[in-house]
Amino acid sequence: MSVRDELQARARFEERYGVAVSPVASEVERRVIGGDWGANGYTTMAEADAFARGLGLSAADHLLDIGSGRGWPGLYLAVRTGCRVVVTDLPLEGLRVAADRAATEGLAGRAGMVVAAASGLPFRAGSFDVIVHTDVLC
Amino acid sequence: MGFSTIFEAPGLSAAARRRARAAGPRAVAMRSDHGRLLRSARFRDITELDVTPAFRATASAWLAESESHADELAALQPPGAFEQRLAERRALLAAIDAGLLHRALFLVRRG
Repeated sequence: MSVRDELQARARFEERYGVAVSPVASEVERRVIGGDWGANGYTTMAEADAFARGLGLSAADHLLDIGSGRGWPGLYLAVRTGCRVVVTDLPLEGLRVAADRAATEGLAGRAGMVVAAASGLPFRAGSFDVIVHTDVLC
Repeated sequence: MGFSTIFEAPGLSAAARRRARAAGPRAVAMRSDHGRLLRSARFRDITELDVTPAFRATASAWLAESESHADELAALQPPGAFEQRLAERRALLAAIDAGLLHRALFLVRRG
């Protein structure tokens, strides 16, 4: 993907995440993926649960979710398993929504949001036990 | 590590690959198979699950639900954005149905 393509993609996602989450959009998401976590892609609740089981996620783990958008599925996995999570992406608007959702879900102290590109993550090696990313490295 | 990825079906003609790339997400243009890429990065214990049927179902559901709530959803977005998104969803679904795009879940461990 060229730099121009990447910048265009980023601008489109900024625009998309800048639209306030509405009741109708939440209802559409519930009907499509089975939950209401600000998702707009193809990872369903069942798939997120499969990640939790397959990765053996637990409250002892520190999870990194790359390209998380509005915090999906990282925040859900933190709620479901008790793990700590850092969700990352470039569009700031999405991470603002994620921060609000983390507060609503009582994840204060267990969830962090970091603006970062997958190609330049600002974390030391070994900072996380588990990493997830959904439809980022297409 | 767990991840999902959308990629071109193997063995496509040049024309089919162009169509897959046009219809898929921005970066769908994998040249090597994921297993080889993961092993080169020293990942082992690689589990790959083909979820293309579920991908198709989810893509179809996004399109159907978006169409059924078109007026409400379009009003929430900048002019033309919703219509463009709908067109993208239709193109993606057509590409999946044509066998051009697959999706898989991976569970891997570092060796």
